[in-house]
Amino acid sequence: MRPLIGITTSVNSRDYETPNQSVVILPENYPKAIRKAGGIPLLISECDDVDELLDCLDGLVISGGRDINPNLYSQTPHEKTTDFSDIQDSWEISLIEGAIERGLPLLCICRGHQLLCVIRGGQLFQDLPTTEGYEEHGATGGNWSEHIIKLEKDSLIFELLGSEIRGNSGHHQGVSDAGDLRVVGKTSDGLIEAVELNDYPFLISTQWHPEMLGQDSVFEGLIQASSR
Amino acid sequence: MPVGNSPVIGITCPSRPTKWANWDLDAVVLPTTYHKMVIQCGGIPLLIPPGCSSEVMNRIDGLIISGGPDINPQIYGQNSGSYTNEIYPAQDDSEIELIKSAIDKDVPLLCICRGFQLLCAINGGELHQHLPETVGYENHGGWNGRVTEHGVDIIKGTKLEKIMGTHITANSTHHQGVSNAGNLLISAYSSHDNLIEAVEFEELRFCIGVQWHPERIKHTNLYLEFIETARGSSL
Repeated sequence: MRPLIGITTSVNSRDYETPNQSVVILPENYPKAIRKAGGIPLLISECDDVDELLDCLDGLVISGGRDINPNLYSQTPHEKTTDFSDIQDSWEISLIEGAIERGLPLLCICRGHQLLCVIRGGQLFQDLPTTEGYEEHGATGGNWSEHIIKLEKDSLIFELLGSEIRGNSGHHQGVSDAGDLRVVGKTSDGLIEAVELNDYPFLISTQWHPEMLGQDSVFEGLIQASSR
Repeated sequence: MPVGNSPVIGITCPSRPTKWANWDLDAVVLPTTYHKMVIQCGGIPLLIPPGCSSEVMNRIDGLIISGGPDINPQIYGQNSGSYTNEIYPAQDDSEIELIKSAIDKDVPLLCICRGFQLLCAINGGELHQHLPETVGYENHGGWNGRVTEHGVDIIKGTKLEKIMGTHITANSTHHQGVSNAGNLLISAYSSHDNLIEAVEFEELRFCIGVQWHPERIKHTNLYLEFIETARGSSL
């Protein structure tokens, strides 16, 4: 049987069917990438009890989305750090911690990558365009950009993608300190773009969005690890 | 509160071009009211995006076909009317496969609004494509974002009547409606214009379709009975 992969969603308020409705949203390229790689993608949404939810899943994707509350890494919010959600933060922290406890295959993307690093004792730059040395890092004014990322040998991400890839950037925050995680990918400006957890069955964590770039091998790796 | 292993409830979702924050992409979107109601009633919600095969039925205990865009009129043998202009065939196809599988396996099935219309359409029924221009239903209720309320009379002896009683107030925010329920049992009509508002298959454990949105107006008893049936215990 094909493995069932849960993908986190974000709650937003928008006009949908009725004005100003609370909705869950996820770009469709996430479930499409999971399905293409041979998994069954199902979307998961904020709840209190993550244990029963994790029991249903064979693998987990923490997707991109809004900024994290800087209180979680002991900083006060920068003026560009807005729209964070304590409910989403605590739900996804429970999911990541619960997944790691179980050894569940885990893929963390963008916001997910940042949250994983924060959970493991790391820190974030709250606004790259105003951070010295990272002004040119990536997306500004809502536009996406691309840059080269070098991947470390002897890492899972290297096995899946090789030594150098083009990553995309749609983020204004970045990881400044990866805590107890191993840094396995960086851009030329030194930003931490990929991390791993030593001795873990399968954990990929990327600042860029592999689901937008046709990096099928990342998802194939996740599905293979999630098959039982 | 329910105890023990909670039933897993799949909820279908539409995907459509969507703009939010600095994104402009095809996105899966679903009001939070569905999964919140499922959690409140003791289930574990998993959202099913379009394109999902019926293989997922092996992993869930109950299925909700949610509200959303109009279904392709070809499904019930009509051409598109002028107000039926936003259809998503991929979602139609996967939801039809899921509904057929749920009925075949007798997995508890709750079909809401679009889901109710699709349930009827694939079981020999037909739709009114635009109620505001259909004689007798011009004043059925709100659509295009406007929400109204009306009474619904439930037929005695149906499963819906056992759950909800003989009269309820329902919300209305749809422009299409069921004109013919095919081989389903009609279990309710709107009080003011006799539009078909609910259907069921009596011989299945739980297969109910409703035109209104019970998750938005705290019709908890309907969701509770659905989820208790999915758990394996029911009325």
